[in-house]
Amino acid sequence: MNQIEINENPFVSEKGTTWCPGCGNFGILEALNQSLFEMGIKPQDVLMVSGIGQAAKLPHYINANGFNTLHGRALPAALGAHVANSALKVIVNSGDGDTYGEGGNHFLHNVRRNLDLVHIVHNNQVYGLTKGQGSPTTPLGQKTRLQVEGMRSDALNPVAMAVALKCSFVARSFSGNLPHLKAMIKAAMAHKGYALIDVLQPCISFNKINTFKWYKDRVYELDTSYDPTDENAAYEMALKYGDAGIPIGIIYSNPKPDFLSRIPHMKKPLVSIDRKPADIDTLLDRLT
Amino acid sequence: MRKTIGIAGAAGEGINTVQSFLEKNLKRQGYALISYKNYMSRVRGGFNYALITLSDDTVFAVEDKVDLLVALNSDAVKEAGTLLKQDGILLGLDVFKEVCAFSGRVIWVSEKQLKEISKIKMGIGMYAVGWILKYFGLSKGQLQGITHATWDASVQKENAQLLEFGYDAADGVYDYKRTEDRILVSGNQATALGALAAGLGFYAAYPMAPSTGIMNYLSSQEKTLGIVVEQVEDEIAAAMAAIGASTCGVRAMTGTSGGGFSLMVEALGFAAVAEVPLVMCNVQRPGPATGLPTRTEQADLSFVVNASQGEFARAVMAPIDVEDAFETSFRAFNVADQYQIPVILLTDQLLADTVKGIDRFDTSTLEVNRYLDTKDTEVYERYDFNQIEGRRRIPGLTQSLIMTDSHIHTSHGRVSETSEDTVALKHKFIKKMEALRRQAKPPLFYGDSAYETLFVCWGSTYGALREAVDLLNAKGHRIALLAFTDVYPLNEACMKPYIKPNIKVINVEGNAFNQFGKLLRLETGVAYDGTINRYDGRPFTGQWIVEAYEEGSF
Repeated sequence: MNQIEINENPFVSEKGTTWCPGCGNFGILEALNQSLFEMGIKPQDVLMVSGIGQAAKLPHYINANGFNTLHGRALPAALGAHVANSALKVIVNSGDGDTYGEGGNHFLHNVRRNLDLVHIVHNNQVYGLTKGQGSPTTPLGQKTRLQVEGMRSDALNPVAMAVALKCSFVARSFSGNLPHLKAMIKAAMAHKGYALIDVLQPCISFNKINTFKWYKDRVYELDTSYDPTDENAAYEMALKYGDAGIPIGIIYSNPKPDFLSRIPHMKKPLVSIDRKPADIDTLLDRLT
Repeated sequence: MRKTIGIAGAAGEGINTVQSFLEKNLKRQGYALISYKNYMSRVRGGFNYALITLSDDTVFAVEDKVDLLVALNSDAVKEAGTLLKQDGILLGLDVFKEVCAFSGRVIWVSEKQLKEISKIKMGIGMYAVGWILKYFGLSKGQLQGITHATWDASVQKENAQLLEFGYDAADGVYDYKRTEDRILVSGNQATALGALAAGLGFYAAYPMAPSTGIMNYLSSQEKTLGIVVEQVEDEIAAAMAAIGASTCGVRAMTGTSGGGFSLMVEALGFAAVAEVPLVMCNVQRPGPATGLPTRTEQADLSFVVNASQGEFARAVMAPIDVEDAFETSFRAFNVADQYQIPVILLTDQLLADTVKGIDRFDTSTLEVNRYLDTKDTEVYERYDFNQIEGRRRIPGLTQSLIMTDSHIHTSHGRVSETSEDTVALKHKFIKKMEALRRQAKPPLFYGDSAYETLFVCWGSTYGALREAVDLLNAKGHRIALLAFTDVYPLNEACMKPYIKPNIKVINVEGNAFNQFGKLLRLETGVAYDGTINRYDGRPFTGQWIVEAYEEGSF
């Protein structure tokens, strides 16, 4: 994309970032900027929600409404925001520690709710902002700045977990493959329900094992014959991770009613409902 | 006239049903009443009792000794001597005669006769409802309205016969009729109704006694009022979801008890720095940790006043009775919007589970103020450091892009580490606190205007303390009370009108550490001369305070 086109994109922020040069986050930000612009969405209609961490700084680096909350807490904040105004398209950006560690409980339950949002997890298998501790996705035995003898816990496979939770849209992508990541973001945006994109990305400062090259050598795009609606096949595909290759693409697709569709009395966004004190008079009648 | 009814038995034996039938029908008859549940944290068994105090005049607290006791099992018959006044009446099953140590009047109900009418287990409960309603002057025809949604036709018929059996056996003593428009409402319901009157759209919570009643009531009104009540995965999510909804322009609230509030603390600070209006209700129960789940205490005040890292503006409001729970809950939303701050409603199990027959809430005088800015200019400073009131724009409703942020930030919500922004935010919090102090509601004064002793209380202690002031003044004491709803921040001058030479200030509160007494001294410089505290998990009653006062050397 040339310079003139970038300037026309209203999502592109002129303000600098505090990410390390070469960070995988830049690829994700670029993919988001381009996807949203190309889909004809207005910045006013987007709410970028995040927790805390390097990935969670993203709302400050894009021109849209932003909601930079607390570590691990992006999802419950997104739940409230979405219920209040479903006309806003909610996009959550958070890291692997933020999402699967501190916010693990919220992840489980908001997938169950099938909130209509796009959740982009910047998964670099390490804690960046706190400088190099192991994350829930760091492999067993892998040495980190803190775990000098190696990780003592098994690594979490977030994609397999999401399939097991019957998450309605589960994709894996790679920050180094812009066209693929854009395709995933656009598909997730078009999906009604919880759309998880676990994005593999290098941390150039603190993860010397899972480098750009490490991912580049392993990721491969799913074959067009792959059927993401087959739950068993999806689970098998989700488990493929490591030296034998890492498939990227839409791993699982399970369309079902989203959270607000499950509340039939919600006919329009809550924020647009006018309320007045006398609304409770009928309730008082029942207390006499 | 003041009479107290006790209904005692095990959990699952029908205490709630009997209590609810009596309350509804006595309230309809025109009696003023207030009730309280004394129950254990279990679904079946144990020893529980409900107290209903009724009067032809306004009543502020239940009495601890009863005039009429409905004993649903043998344990209740055994306890009759301690629960009943000497001239009280016990209604019990004849098969428990030998365990009864009560020397006053007893109406022994034949279990054999009850069984002939109905095989249902707790026939005495319905018998007692009939008996008591006649005692308080209801006509036989009024029994016909007594029914329950879960009863089928045969159960309905048998219960009607039990009611009539009890009714026919009773003396008709009182014949009291008034026609005022009273409603019967609990503290938790009043809190919920205040929020609904304020325009509540979203409530998120995790179940926790004794706060769950708020969620239950709101949930039952979801469709009627077009609101959303969500049971979330934990209290962290509850507070964060409420903040999320409020950020996007909907009045939102969460409620819990102390243990859940502990989990909400990080969100409390977030709401403050993000300047998102948030109403949080902590229905106190005795702590720490799991404490006494179904009992009462006022020991979370210091906690909620100080909760969270850092310094910021917040308001803490503790309604003093059921009526005040409605008014304060309503007002909390306006104050939260006015200064874009967290407002904590601090109630307790006593208030939450107190049911009171009160004048109908007048919604025509209530004014909602959202303090919103609906202008649609592109330039907008979400966190203008020079404005402490309102001017809030909502993401998605104007052309302005809004950044809501948890860091120290610029006036546009961008992360900032400058000394200037850090100080500007502090100054904004200080100004908000000054404004809150200025507009804090003054304490309610009640009692002898030539008082020699001034009781100071906050929150639900007011009801029992007011009864105690009346009892003591009738004995020739010269006493008045001050009851605080707005407990933090306090106006520095709030005690000035009440402090006179040669009076004693007695601090009365439901905790052991005198948390409000110390806060009052810190904020106003007024120190107490003596204290009356209750911290055994049970509520104050007027008589309990009278005895504590007379035993104390004040």
